[in-house]
Amino acid sequence: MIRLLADPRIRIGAVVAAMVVLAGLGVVTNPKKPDTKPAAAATEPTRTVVNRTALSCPVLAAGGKLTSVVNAVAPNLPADTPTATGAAQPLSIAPLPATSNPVGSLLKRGTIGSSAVVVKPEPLSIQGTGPLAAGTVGTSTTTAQDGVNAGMASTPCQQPGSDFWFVGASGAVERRDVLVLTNLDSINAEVNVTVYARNGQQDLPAARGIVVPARGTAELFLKQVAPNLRDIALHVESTGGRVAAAVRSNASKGNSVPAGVDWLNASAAPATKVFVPAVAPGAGLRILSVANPSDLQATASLTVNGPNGPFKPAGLETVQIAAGSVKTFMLDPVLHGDPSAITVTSDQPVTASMRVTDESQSEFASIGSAEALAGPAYLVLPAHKQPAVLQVTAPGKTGSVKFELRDVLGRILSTRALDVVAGATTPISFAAQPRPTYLMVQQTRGTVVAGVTLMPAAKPDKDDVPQVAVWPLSTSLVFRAQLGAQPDVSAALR
Amino acid sequence: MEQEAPAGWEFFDSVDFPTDHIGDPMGRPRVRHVVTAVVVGHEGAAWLPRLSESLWALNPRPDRLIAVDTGSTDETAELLAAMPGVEPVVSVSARTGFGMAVARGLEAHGFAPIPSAVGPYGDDGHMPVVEWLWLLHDDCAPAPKALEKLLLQATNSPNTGVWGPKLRLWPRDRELLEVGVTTSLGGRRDTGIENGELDQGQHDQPRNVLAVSSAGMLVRRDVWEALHGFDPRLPMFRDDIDFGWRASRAGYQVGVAPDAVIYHAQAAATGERSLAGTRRHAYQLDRAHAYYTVLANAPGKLLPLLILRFLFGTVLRSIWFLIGKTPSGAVDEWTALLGTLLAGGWTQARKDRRHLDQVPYDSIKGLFSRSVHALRHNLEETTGTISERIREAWADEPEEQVVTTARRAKSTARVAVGQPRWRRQLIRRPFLGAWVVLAIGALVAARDLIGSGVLRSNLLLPAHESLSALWHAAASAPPGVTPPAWLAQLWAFSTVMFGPGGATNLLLLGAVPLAGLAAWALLRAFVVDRVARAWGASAYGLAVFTNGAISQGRLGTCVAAIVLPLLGAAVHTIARRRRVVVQGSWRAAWFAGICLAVLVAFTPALGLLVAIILVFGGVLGLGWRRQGRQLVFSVVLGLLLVLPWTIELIRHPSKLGQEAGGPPTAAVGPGNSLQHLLTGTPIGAPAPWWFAVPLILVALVSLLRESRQRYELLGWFAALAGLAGTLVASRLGGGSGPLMFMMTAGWIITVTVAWDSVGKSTELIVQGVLGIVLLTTVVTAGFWLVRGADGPLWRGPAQDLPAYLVSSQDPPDNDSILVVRKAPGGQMRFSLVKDGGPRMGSLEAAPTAAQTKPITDVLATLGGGGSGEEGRQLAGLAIDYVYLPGPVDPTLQSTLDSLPGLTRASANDGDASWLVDRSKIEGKTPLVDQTHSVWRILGLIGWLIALVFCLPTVRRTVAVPHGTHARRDPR
Repeated sequence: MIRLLADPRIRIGAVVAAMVVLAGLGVVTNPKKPDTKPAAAATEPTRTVVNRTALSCPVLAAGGKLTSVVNAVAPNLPADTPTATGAAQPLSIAPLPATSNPVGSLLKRGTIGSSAVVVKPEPLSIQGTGPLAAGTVGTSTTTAQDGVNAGMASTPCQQPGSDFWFVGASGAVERRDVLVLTNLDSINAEVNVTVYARNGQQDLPAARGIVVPARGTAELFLKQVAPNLRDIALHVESTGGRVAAAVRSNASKGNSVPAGVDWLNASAAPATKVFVPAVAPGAGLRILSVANPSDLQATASLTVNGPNGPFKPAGLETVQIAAGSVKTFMLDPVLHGDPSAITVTSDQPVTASMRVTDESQSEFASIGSAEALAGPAYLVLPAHKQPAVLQVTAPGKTGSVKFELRDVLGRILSTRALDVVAGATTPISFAAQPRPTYLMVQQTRGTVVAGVTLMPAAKPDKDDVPQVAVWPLSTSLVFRAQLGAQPDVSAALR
Repeated sequence: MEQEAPAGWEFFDSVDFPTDHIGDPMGRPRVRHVVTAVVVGHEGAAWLPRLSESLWALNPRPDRLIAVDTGSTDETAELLAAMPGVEPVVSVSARTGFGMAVARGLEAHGFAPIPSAVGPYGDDGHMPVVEWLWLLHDDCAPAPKALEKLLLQATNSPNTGVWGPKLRLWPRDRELLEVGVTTSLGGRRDTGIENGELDQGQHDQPRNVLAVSSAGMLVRRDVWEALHGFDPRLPMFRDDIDFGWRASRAGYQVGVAPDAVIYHAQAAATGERSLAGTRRHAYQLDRAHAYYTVLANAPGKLLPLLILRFLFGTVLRSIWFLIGKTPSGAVDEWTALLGTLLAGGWTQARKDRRHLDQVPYDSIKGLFSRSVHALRHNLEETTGTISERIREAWADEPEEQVVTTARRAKSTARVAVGQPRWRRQLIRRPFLGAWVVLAIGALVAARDLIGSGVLRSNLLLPAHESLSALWHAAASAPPGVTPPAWLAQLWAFSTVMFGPGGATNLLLLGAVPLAGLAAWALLRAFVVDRVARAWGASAYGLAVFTNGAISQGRLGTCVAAIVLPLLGAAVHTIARRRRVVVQGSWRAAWFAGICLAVLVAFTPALGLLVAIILVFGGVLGLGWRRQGRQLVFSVVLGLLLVLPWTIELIRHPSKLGQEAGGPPTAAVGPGNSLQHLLTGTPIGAPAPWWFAVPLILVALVSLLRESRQRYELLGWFAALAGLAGTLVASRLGGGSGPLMFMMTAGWIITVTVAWDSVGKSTELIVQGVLGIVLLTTVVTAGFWLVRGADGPLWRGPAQDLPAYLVSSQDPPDNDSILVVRKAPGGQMRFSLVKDGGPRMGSLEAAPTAAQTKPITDVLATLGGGGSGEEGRQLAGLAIDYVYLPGPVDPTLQSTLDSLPGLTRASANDGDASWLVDRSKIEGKTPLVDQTHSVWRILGLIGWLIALVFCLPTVRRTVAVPHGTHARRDPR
């Protein structure tokens, strides 16, 4: 070997050959992406244990002959979901004051618990700790045959938070919209409300610095703070303490004829692409409100995700929304009564909601824009006399979902996995139920938004009071939390 | 010893020629001196003829000359008997001490008789007579006027009872040996003469001293008899000091007469004559006698202090001996001290000497040498020893030294005469000039990185604030995590280099000149041409820059670049073939082990590659013989010295892809680019890859030469090994910065060796090729000067938090701050900042996912909107602040804003901060470090042992007094 290397030609040849071989190896192999994460970085997403729940269930103001109930459930979670350890302690459904007695409780996972049906409602909360806390959802439902509260007003009980958007409220004379702020914690909260209207952002000192007492509620009457302003958007921000916000809306026709009551469901935070799911099928008004809270004029484009796929309604391909203003679009001529969803794409972050009425415009509901599902979403449906429709939309590529409908005792009534064609909305109808049920919808592929709608029958009986309701589906906290956090020492440095 | 000139006065200086008169300039009455001289001889045949001659030349001569032979085996007795006017030689046993021999001689022949008052030249009866005893060694030669000058001084100052001459080096040197002698109270013999000091008359003042050497000592008879001669307990060492001290105590002054010169051969001190079988114990004997002398004579009130001082000194010297791998020296120290203290008979000696005290200690205090002098002497001696050993360190082969010197002489032969001095220096030492350029260039290149703050980059976390913090971090980590080994080594370096910040500055910004210096140390071993060596060292230093190690802040590669040549030098010392019986060097093997330990700690991949090469090269190339075993030993040692880290590397081989600085360094490498891979330039390096192309081409061309191919092939082998390592590392997802550096280093060595061989050639092609190499280096250097500080490396604050949050981490608050970073739509990344924030090694010693889980859970829930409990949970984790650096995620911000238990606090522009209410909850932090004390202690012991073994051995230097007469140990 050494003797061989004594010849300079062989020397050079050997060296060059070695380099060529190594270079060839370098060409045919590909470098692996280096693992530069800190050693402690978890490879699997962190799974958090939710061991405490506090939900606020708002109620309507008294008026007429109404019945109010809160249905709640600690749903059956997927098998590998971590829950708190220890004995199952019941979650209580109780009025806000700490000293009040519970009016209902959740004793067992998977079984729906309900509050006693009352005629003079008071705000309730679902609170508790322990294994049952994870994933708990509830729905507050009020029905009335006549009077100002006629129809159905149903909304999911809310997780307290700090940032809420409501689009489609009004301070006009034919509406009586009230922002209800509920504080479940033991310290006072302070809330600022920013109001956007058709003519831009409003400077309303009365809407700032609202104190929500501990374990209490505060109400903001929009007619007082924003008189005669139509189509307004509210941005509710807590500067200290956590609140649950809801907008109660009583509508009337003319001066005194009631035109239904409902809760305005909250909209997602502004984004450049927002989805309004679950535009109910059937006749009636479909009014889309789009709010642009930014400082710049937004150029938006609407896409209707109908049952047969997406289309851009004529004349609405490009719409301008002035800075800080709200704009409404009548979409019922475009939708033709199809179960649909709306996608708003904008160059500025916007948020939106859809107002749905029945044919006679005597009852309405409102659904805000929603974030795409990232895991199982749970929803308790109250007893309904008409079929409820689950509307699943895949605004982007083809997505797929899995759903389960369970009855009061947790038995599966209906379950299916289905694909949703890209850009289309798929309605799934659930038969009328005399007792509350609960629904689990889980996204398994693609971007998916969903909601449940309830509309009166196409040919109602004479004495039927039309009931219109829309329930949004949002990813349960248990699974939202699993986006997780990662320890990284260098996060402390720029 | 030449034996010419039996007679003839030319042997002595003419000024020393005797005059025939002992006159008194003061005009006092004449005194008649009667001198009895005693010569003690032992194996002194080599010197006695000269003593004979000088006695012949002496004028006046002693009135009686007594010769004592202490059992010599050569012709000493005959030579003694041939001295002028000598009495019959007295023979005593070989174990007789000097003082005893003198006493025997006097017993046998007595003092010289006082001559008759009536002499042939008149009546001298009125003249007073003074009797003297003159002590001579067999290896000394008094100058002809020595006795005359002594007696002259004795006449001038009659109060002085003991006189001593000036001792100069045999045979007639001007080097001074002694002009009187004294001791410190610590027992150190002090002559006050520098080593090698020449006699220029600087000590020629007659003065009082504490003692004089027994060679040429002139003692008045009454003094001798009053003091009973020398102490028989001191057969050698310190007998003269003890005698002088006793004389001083008794009120007889001791003087030195510098006009009287005695030449002394120091036969015992220089080892020309053995101390008759006492060599092994000489050191112990010296110490024991020193203690005895001080203990027997020092005033009683000082005794406790003195004993403490002896103990302290003994402890220090024992440590020195232990470090110097001479444990028997430490044993000698302790046996000497304890033997003297416990059974030395010094108490009896004190009792015997009590009657002597005529003079209070205070009045002779000035005669002792001050302890400061002793300390200074010790320091000089120690530094002298160290520098001498370091000089010896790598040059322990005498026969090759000659060759090297000759080659070196040849290489400097071209030095132009008639050039200005600085140019001559530059030609003679081109590396010196190059190094100065590199050092200044390092400052210029780092101009933007000099100032306050700490050095940082994405690959370099800030250095620790203090040595103690680094010391803590070096062995502390969350349970189950091994702290990186390089922190401990950086700590050791920081202790001598201005703390962790200073050490980091030095290693990073000074990497180019330091690496150049280290390379020079290696190239010196086998490159003779100074210009080639200077080029090689400079190019090596600049390779650290072209590798990007400095501008990216890769401390590991910088350290590796400095250590690699040192390791190479040690391996070269082990592996080269020498014309001596014993091949290899264990000390170099220990040093190589230390270097390898540094490599494994700072750049595990490079350390592993070098270890594999050493083991296989050692076993296959050198065989399982001494040298091969030494190489294998150094590898094992290197792996042992970083021990918990080695286990960590085996358990997590992916850490081999990192260097000091943590996981981000794993991203450094050639990536997918073939040209970067082949030229050894990592992506992100400041210099373009084609800067390396001329170097590679020249390295290829250099293989065409015929001679000295071994080193060039070794260089190419290093380059190809680095290339292969880079390929493997990058394909497995690891970093390869240091491996690519090794490629460049290999090419530089190849070219340097080739240059060394052809540098003298005047062929145009050769000159052209060397010109290309030089031009490339100069261009690279210019690039370095201009763009040296471009890169991720910057200097800034150690933490990016507001000042109040930084200071709140200090006691008494000891706050911890949760810094959460969230890109919109991305994952949250967080870090719990406490005790000064993330510092070096924090990434490697980051807590495990299980340990951070409590925080992860809270943040995950917050990310999902929160449940309202998180404020209390954060307080329960002992978190005082939550900090969101900008850009702040608005959702998270509003969630935190509304969270009960959190209050907004002030923050930097664009950031957000919250104060967690901890007034009701005590809280317990989830991240607690565990200190690995066992590993730390084992590591310290291991490193101490390794350092001691690679340091040179300390020799026991016996300070044999120049005047010591050779004789046997009486024991």
